[in-house]
Amino acid sequence: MNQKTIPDFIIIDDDPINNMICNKIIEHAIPGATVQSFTDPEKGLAYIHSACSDSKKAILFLDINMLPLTGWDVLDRIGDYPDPIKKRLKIFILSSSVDLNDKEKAADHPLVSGYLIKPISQEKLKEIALDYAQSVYA
Amino acid sequence: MDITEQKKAEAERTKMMADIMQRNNDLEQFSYIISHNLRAPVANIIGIADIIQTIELSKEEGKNAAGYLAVAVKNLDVVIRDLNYILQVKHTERKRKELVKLSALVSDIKLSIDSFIRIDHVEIVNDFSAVDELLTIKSYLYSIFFNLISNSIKYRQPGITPVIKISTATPNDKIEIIYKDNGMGIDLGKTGDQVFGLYKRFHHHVEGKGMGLYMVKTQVESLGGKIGIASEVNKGTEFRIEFENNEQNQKT
Repeated sequence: MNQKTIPDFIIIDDDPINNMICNKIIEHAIPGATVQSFTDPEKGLAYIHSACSDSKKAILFLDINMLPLTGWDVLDRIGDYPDPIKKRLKIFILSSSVDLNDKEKAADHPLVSGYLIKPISQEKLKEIALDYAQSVYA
Repeated sequence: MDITEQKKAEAERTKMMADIMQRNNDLEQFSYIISHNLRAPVANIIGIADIIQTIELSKEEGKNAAGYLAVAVKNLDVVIRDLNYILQVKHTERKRKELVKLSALVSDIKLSIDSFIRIDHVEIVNDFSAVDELLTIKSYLYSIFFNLISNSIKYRQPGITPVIKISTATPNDKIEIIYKDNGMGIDLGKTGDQVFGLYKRFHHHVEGKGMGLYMVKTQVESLGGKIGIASEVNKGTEFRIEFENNEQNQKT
């Protein structure tokens, strides 16, 4: 199996406990996947900008309720990135909010592929990973 | 019923509608925040439980997981306690109103945070010549001033003496408390409407959890008043609290 079919994950969430949970669950559910997590949105953005400038593809799990930059602000910033970076990035909102407005806003956002409710489940992760593998050969 | 009475009734109805809509709006916001802030630690706990149940952990990792679990449970407890406190304040019926002397109240607060006031050389200047006594719920008024003053000290401008000016006035037959500081101010441009929101924070380099101004607004409204804010970054912040001026509220 080609290594490229296993996704690299980036997590931006100001809650370190969530990031630890994601790390552990991703490691377990998708052996070989890498995880970079950031509690500071600015650092996460800088990482995306540099890492995805070459050929690197990644899946981003993005929290909404953060300060000082919210998830929506982060999306705005990514929106200003060059198209190749945006194309290499698959973005999921990962939020503890079960609020319908948040879900609708995410569904309407052109950069967002899906809305996940915390905590991330292993089944959902496997689904996302499989979908990613398929997209590599698409 | 003559015309004047009709008009008065109409005006009252309009005001009541506006009040109800405001309350409804507040409640919606409140429930959104609470559901989000309650759900966050719960999601953490579910996630940690999933890890403990399905992943073989080393002794070290198991210990870490237990530590995270403890933090998540504590965070949940904090939100529940906050919620309880807020709901208590929203029910004012059981609280007794009494005549409160503003000058004495501010002196009490100064005394209780004396060490902070001395360390930062905070100057508090009062002018209660227009109104010095209010018929009010003392603990609420105390908490309102306490929150505002401690915010002014927390968010002071580095390098200059923090000066807080508190005064009263009686414009248009109302009682107004004007509270002014020369602190770092808040940029109200983008998210100004959230300044009184629960768990909303505007200065991230200073510790805080975003309860202070929410409680101030809740308490002012529980006392039947209104609060407004004006602020300029690096200049300072001004709050205006307005109460109806009736026999029940005032005694000069």
